[in-house]
Amino acid sequence: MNTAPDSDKVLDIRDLQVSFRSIAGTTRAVNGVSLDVRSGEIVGLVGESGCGKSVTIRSIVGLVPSPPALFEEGEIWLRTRRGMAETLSLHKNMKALRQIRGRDVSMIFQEPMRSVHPMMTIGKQITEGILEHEIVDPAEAYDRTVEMLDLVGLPNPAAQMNRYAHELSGGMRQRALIALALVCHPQLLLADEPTTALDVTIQAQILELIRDLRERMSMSVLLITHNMGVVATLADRISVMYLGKIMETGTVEEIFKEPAHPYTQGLLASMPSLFSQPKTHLQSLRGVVPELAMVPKGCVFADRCPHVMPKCDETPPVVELRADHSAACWLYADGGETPGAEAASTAEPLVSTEDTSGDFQKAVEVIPVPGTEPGSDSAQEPPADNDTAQLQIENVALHYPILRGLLRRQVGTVRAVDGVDLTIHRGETLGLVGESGCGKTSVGRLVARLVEPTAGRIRFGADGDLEEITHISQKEMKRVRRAMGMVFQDPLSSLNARMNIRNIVGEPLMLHQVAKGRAVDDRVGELLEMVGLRAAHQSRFPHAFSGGQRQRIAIARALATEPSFLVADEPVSALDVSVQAQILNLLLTLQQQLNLSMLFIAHDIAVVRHVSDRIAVMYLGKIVELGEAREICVRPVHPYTEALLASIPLPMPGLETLREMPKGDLPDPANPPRGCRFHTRCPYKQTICEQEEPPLRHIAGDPDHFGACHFQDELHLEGVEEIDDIHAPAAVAEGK
Amino acid sequence: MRTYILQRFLQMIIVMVVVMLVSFIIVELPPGDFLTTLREQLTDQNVDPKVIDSTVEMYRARYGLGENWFIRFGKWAWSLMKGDMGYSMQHNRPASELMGERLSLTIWISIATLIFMFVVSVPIGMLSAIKQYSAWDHSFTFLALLGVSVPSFITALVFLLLSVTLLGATTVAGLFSPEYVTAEWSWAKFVDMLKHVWIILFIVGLGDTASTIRVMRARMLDTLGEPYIDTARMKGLSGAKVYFRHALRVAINPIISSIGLRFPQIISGSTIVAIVLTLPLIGPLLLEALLGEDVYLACSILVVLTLALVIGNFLADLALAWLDPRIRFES
Amino acid sequence: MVQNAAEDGPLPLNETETEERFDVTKQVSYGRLIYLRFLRNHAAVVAAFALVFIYLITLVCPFFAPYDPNTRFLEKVAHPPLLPTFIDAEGKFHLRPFVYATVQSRDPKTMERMYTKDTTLRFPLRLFVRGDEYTFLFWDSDLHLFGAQDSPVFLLGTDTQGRDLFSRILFGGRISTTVGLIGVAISLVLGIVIGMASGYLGGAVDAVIQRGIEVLLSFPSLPLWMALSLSLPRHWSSIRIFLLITILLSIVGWGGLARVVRGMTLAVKSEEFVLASRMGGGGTWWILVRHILPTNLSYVIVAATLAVPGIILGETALSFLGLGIQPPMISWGVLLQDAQKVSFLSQMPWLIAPAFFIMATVLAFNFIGDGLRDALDPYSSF
Repeated sequence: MNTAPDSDKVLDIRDLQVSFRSIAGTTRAVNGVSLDVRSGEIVGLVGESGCGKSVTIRSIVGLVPSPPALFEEGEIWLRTRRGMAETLSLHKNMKALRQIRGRDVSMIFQEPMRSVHPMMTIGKQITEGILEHEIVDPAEAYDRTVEMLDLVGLPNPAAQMNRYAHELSGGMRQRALIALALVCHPQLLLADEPTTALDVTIQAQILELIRDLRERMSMSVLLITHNMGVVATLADRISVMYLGKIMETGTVEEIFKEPAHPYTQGLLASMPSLFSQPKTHLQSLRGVVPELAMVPKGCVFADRCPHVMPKCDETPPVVELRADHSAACWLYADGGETPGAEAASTAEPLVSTEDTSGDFQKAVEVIPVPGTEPGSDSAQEPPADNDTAQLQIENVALHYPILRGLLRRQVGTVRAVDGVDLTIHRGETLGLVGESGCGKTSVGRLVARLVEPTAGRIRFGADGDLEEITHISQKEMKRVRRAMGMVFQDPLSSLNARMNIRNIVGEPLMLHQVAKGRAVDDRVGELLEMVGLRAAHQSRFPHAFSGGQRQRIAIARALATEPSFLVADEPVSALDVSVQAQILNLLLTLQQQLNLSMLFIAHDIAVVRHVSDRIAVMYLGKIVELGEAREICVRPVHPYTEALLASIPLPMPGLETLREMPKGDLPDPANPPRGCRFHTRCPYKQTICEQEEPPLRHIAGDPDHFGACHFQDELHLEGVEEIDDIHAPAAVAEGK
Repeated sequence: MRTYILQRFLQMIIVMVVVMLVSFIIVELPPGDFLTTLREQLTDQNVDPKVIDSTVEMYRARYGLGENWFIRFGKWAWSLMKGDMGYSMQHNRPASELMGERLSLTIWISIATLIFMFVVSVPIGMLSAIKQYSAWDHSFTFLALLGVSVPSFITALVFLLLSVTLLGATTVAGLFSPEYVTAEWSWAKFVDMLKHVWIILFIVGLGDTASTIRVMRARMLDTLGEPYIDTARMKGLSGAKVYFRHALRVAINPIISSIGLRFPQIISGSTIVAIVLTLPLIGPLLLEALLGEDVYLACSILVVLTLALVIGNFLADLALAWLDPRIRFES
Repeated sequence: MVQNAAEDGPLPLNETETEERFDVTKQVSYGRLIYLRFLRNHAAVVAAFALVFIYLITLVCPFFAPYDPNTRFLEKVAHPPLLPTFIDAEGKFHLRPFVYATVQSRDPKTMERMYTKDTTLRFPLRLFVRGDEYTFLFWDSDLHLFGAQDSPVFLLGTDTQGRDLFSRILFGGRISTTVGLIGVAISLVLGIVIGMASGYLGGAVDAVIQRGIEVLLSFPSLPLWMALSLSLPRHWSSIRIFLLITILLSIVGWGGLARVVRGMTLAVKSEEFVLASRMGGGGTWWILVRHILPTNLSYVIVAATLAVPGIILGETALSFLGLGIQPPMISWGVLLQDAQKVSFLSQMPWLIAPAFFIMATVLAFNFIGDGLRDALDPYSSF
């Protein structure tokens, strides 16, 4: 095996094993990974957090500090300008490694905000790379840098040369970093979650850029991400990784159309997509990703696998299913002709929507969600009390002063929320979607008066008529909040680490004097079981739970006082895909069971569509479109909604969207554009858009669908058609 | 940038006024009327009663004694701004005359200590971070903790003890060789001072050097974990370039901005070390003034020292703004 | 089990069990986790024991000290330390440690005092001997931990007036170490109240407090203390002076703590669990006491631990300069006054001994503070 691979391969990782030594013991982060990248190819390495993707990719260029890392086995062959080189052996030879870095292989990172040096100009940072590898005079390096900045699409490249990191937005920084990485024309670009920290519309731009540069600079890309949509849009081939092992490798079409490994199937099924049946249970993987120290023996996925069998105690072989498609699973072990293989690729869904789980039955009395019944199309049937409003906000605004200087003078105003009207009916879920900084979180907090509105009216009805709560005292508000619950984004920060679960979940009970002493224990126990945890766990502390479990605890707390209204502020965006589906399912179940009204806030329109009856799209403090969830996705009327839909990377390879991508960056919310706020990025912009701000009004012929575009009745915008016969696993499983 | 400087300047002026006000209150705090004390003291010194009367009258006029406190404060502050540090009752001389050389020497020694602190601690702290958990790191981490725990006057005492027992010295090592102590400033005197001063710098600066080593090490470790360091490494830069060009620049910022807090400590240290080692700095004069209840002298010393600090702090902030574009562009 | 996939449900049984089996940290509280992490830091643990020892012997000093600090041994003025030994001049081993008698003479040339051992007279050391009478917490006694009958034992020698330095160090330590604790307690209260108010209320309150602390921190502390000590009336009783000095030291010292608390409060304020508590009906007071204070507390304890040395050193320095604790009260700083004079120091180098007690105490506090800080670091692994 100790020979250089054929010249077609740019990168060849063979049986890589990396361990980390710590006080607790040695854990194996990468456990026999083999992977190759061929010339001009984009390979995606997908997996949930903590599965060893980053360590794998960083091992290629020696960016894993050793100690504590131990490279126990394996080879990494990399094509360099001097021929094939084995880079693991170069870890000790820093000089040779340095010659490779930046010249033969480059890397871009997850956090563009922190990956650009804060105290050096962009130009200097890039020219530094050229001067390190090539003997050129500074003037030439300067010219090449400007050229490169132009190539990555930074406006006015010569001016960017003298700018600092903090003057650039996240998207622009990622472009600058790509320029920095590619300025010496490496053959391989390693991209470590390059778009995770960016907004969807910016993500779409960066993905487009990477695809474009691959052609122009004839390079290969190894992309790691947790987002199946991103790999589907960008990659040619995919490897799926779980707990340090490659589970499945194949071309993008095969993986998405005929996923073989149960883990791949589970991952795909647990993603809410724009095609899935809204308000149905997603097929989630059970359990959570275990910590590395507790990786099971044999097949590492066995504990969570629906097809687990006795043989899974042994390490499964890598089975070639086809040329370029292999899976490490016992299901296919005997030549790929077992019934298992059939099951995997065709009719019978491997994951079932029925709640046959004995464990779960014990914990929660599951009321079937309408959409889950086969053939039922009743998901869109409006829930009980569609006409009674539970929450109504009118022209609500939240303005922050920008204070500067010694005397704290006000130099400007951030209009986080700038005149929003919304009504949420009893039992209804309203989804609020938008990019970062659009004010969606502020709306959620305004509703609960966690921040004080600058203007407008908020009316809320706990169990009867609406009552104005805009200016009532904190004491009055306490009474109102008893009927409201809130779930926050970050399950780590939303639970006080110093308190045990009983006190966290029981806090509202004690504050509202609902229960005391033993009664609190009992009620907390009930609540925990309701969200799928054990009552006995209430004496534990938050650090004993995983992210998904913590979010369950947060939901239990939000529901402690039996509220009728729930604000869910990005409740799943910090979670892994498989866990995200579990939490969405739980929220849907509880909503049905308790007849909750819900304000569901998220940045991912697919997630929002999945759980909401109606959707409001927000942009820079304003609502730009409001309507029935499916309607908005199929027939958007505002160009921003169209852009948002177009930007979502769909887990459907080959489904290229021809729609126009939004241009440029989000404007500064402190200084929003005049007229229509979207006009700076809108492909359909007319003169009137720069001058007059369009009001939110219903579109012609549909009194329930509102838009805030001057041309909403004239434009024909493209939404996402609901395709029934698509081979998306979500859709496949949906049918039966 | 200009707005930033202006803002910081205004802030400095405000702090200065408050410092003077606080100092003034401290002067006013001791019980007993100042003029009575003065009269008693002068009588004790057998001064001619006429001179006593005129001196008391002079003070009454100059400081507006007997008037409203804010008028008194105004007069005192005004005379201070004109460079009039008041009058020493003990020495019967203007305070500025007494302070003169001692003050400038104190400030120079403090600045030199600051430089000493930087030169020693930055490389040590940086190397400790780069070679984390090495023998070098462990030993300097321990030494730094030790250094932080030893106050400068004890270092000075130990130094005294060592020079007395080991070297058999009978007088205290000062800033100068005996022949230069009273001599006029000259190149030779300066060179002579350089020979003696390093041990003073070591004694005064030990604690702050040690704690700066700790800060530097921690900051450097933080910085080396930043993603932009990975970016730099991925360019193929050598270790030295990554450390010096990329990491050091960022890691050193908190050290520069901490000058504002270090400087007062160094002045404190130099005050007491000067007393122990009887150096011709401001410390012994302050002690003398305090023990002799020479309030205006003591207070002037306090104010002048503090104002020097406030100005130093201001300059440190300017340096920081010049180094760090994030601050430079903020306003 | 095969069809068990779809629903999330509670954790499968086997998984939970593995959890419990593998990870003890899962079950314990946050406080206990910190305690366990702290125990891993051996230097800090040793320092903690050392500190307990120092506080024990200084607080119960009348018992541990062989003599009253003011007992003068007129024939034993400026006596060098005389350490008990097990082996006598002839090399014979004695189970009970002993000291030899000493005889005073003068150097014929320099006329300096000299003490020579009289190896014929051995005085064995005894535990629980009767000696100088004292009152400890309303309890009269004359029992001392150790001593030798018929002859004084000077572990660290005597001073210029023939008083046992070891006894004086213990008595002085009582003042110096208490100043540290009381001073930090006052700073802590000021720092927590002002810091939390500054951080939680924000706005103008915050701005004023922050500028105030800036001014406070821009004074050089020692000269400021010196100037402030001037305002203490000299004729007051030494116990009142002691209390005032302590207050004075903490008035200058709270600024740093208030900054720590403010920073923490700001950080905690924006944490989602505070919002969650407000949603659950928690008012400002509830949130401050139930959430922000406990979250801050551990960091504040670290800051306080690291602030004790500063106050101890402040007292020592002031007393050393004659501006702090006034005789007849003794503190480590007062004891060091003698060492300041070169002529004394050259003849009686043991006079510097209090300095080592100061250093040991300060070092112990710093080690413990460091250990606590590392234990609190959320990024440190167990």
